[in-house]
Amino acid sequence: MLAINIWPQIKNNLPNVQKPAQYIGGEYNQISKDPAKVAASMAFCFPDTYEIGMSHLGLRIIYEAINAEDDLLCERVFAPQADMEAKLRQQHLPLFSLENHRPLAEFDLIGFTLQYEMSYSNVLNMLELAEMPLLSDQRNSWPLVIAGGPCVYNPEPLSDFIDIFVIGEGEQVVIELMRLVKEVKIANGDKQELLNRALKIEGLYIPCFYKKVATKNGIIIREPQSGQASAVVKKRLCADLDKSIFPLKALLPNIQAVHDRLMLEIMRGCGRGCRFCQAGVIYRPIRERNLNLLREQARQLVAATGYEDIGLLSLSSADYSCISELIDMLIADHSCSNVGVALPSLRVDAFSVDLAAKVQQVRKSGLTFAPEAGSQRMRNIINKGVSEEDIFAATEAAFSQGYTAIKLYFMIGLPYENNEDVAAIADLTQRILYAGKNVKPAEIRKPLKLTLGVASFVPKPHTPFQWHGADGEDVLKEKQELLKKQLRPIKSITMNYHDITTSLLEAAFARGDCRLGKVLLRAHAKGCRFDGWKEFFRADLWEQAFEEEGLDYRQIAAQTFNHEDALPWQHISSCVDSDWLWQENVKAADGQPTVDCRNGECNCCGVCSNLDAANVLAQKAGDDHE
Amino acid sequence: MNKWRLSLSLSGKMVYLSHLDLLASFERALRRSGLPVSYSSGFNPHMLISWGPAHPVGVGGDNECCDLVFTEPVDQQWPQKLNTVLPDGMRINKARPLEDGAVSLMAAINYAQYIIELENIVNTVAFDAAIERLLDADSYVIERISPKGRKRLDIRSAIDTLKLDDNLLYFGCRLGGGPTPKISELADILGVTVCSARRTGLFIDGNNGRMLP
Repeated sequence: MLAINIWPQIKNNLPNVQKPAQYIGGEYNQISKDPAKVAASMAFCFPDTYEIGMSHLGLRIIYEAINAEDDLLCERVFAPQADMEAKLRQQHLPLFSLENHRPLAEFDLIGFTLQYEMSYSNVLNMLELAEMPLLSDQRNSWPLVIAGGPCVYNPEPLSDFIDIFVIGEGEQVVIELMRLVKEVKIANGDKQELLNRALKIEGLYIPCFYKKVATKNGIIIREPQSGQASAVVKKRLCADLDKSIFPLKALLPNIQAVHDRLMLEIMRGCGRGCRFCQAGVIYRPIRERNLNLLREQARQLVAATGYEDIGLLSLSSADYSCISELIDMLIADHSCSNVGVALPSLRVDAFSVDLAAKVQQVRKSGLTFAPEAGSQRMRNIINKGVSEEDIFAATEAAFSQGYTAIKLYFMIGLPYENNEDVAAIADLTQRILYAGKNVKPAEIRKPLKLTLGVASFVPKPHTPFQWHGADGEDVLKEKQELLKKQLRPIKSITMNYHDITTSLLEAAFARGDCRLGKVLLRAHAKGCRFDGWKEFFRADLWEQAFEEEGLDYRQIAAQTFNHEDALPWQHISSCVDSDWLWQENVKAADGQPTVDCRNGECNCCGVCSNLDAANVLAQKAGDDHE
Repeated sequence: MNKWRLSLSLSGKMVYLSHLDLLASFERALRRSGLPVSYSSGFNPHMLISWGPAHPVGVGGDNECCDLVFTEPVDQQWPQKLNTVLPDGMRINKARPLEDGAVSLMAAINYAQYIIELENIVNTVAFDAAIERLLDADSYVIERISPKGRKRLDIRSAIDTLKLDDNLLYFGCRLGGGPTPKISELADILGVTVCSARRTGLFIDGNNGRMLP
């Protein structure tokens, strides 16, 4: 069988679209295979642009994991921008992969990664551009449509469209699934046979085996149709990161990606237990990579890519047990070739600034801190574990070392927050600026600049705050205004905040049930796409779509659940006990702290016993364990 | 002699890279090669490379050029080393040591030669008339719409020669004077469809004729 390749048709359109290099593929280090010579193939679809998708480490890992298998193939697909989409539609050309410019319908699996709720309309749009029926029950043959990523911890808004959800870390389970595809295809089996047999693979949620059940508080939950499907689908986990696959010949994007640097994943999981944070729950337990392994991986990555920066990726890189040693090692190995180290996530403390100072030996970048809340009371409620002393120690250290621009991230709309807590953000920011002016070295003329990112809190499933509703439109508006009023007159402080309607829609899709699928269909039909992009977001169309379905996103976003209430995502498990999440929610109300479990004291979240796993911490060089 | 002037070719998919992305791609290849490239000093060290006129997106190049500084003398054969780690479609053709005080590429280069492959011209009479109209005019104003807005540009002074041979259009373009037309704009003026376009050379056009940089 000859593989279809539509490159000639795509090429004809390139002179007439913006940034044509995003559609050409052929990047340095791209893995090219002959589709006709593999047993099973997947189109990995990132439901946003090339520049964003190519910055995503998960795509790189899955791409590497699948292509490392001789009989399997993974190719990349990104959402085309409006100009290219119009050309595809006019010319009846299907959406295509970058490696072989192959129509999506030619693959066995179409796999989406769901990183952000506001990309859901792009998922539907990409399926439509692939000339696939949107609804799962209207597709009876290959390819199957699967989805993974953090958003699948509440899969319900997309459960009418996706055949199989992959819960948790995907690099192993996707191989198991593709091997099954291979077996079923060899036996000439169909979609239903694959789904039946996929029930035996752990970590897969297959919606067609679950019925929709209405609860007394008006939401829809899912229950198994029969005994075959398990009542709760547990996440998958790579217990040993040292043994898991990592892309060492990283693809180099053809056009500058949002984060265009070498990606070195130093650990997964975070034990800090911030109560708003979904990543802090779903990626538990903590797994650090071995120090010497990281050193070797960095060497290979630098040699294979020629990147000028090594980005140390994790949820909180300063927490990595041997972070100082790691940075020293990397700088020793690479500074002579002008390759620097970048720490994308800094803790708010002086230690982190010392790390930043080491990093800056080669190349100086800006610093970003996330105190998240302005008042100590709020920081206790969210269990941020950061004191005002920490904040000033960090920012003063940064300014005294000559940094002149600092970014600060805050949230408004958190549970139990009042206007004094919001005002405390403005107050804290001004005091940071004032303190900075006092410690700034005299020789630096450039004025200090603080940039505030103020996000509206969106309650996420599988967090201690999953039972809380989001603040309403008026309340959020009032809180934004309050900050603007206090901070706008100050020239050296810039404040950016999130669009409220977008945040409320995100909140509705984060905790909503399967009824949202119908809304999504309508919104898509009306032309919604790239909803995360200000310039494309159409609040009016979303408004209409909800209205026509008799639903209200404001109400869904604001919905508060009680402890005993059923939740739309209760059939999906992060393996952290729900009782522990509730207990954390109760502790939040009193601002009681919970310590980071990496320091030895287990706080009994349940993840280790439920998965027969444990925190894995890196050892210092010298006392390396086998 | 640590400063070199090189000529590279762009073909295949690489022609779709923007100039900036091409620069990034080239610099990463230099880092992979391990060649001792010089960096600027300061907080954000960057490689000491200076490029000639940017290549238009979608247009291939036979002789794109840049100057490059090494920290130490390098073997004459260094381009081979770099060619093994350049992406497909990017290749160094020539490299020569550059004398001290050489005029920079951007300052020196003032002429470009293109070969544009056209689809079959249906109406040759209309085409000839269009070329004649363009070359006979003292000024030729086009409107360019970009995301930043509309602009009216007189592109006539940039057009030196236009010659058709079979289905190949040879276009000689003056750089650094008035605004230059894009290949697609030129095609619109002449009412033709472009299959592909290549910049065959960049030159220093002076009293002594046209020279390669």
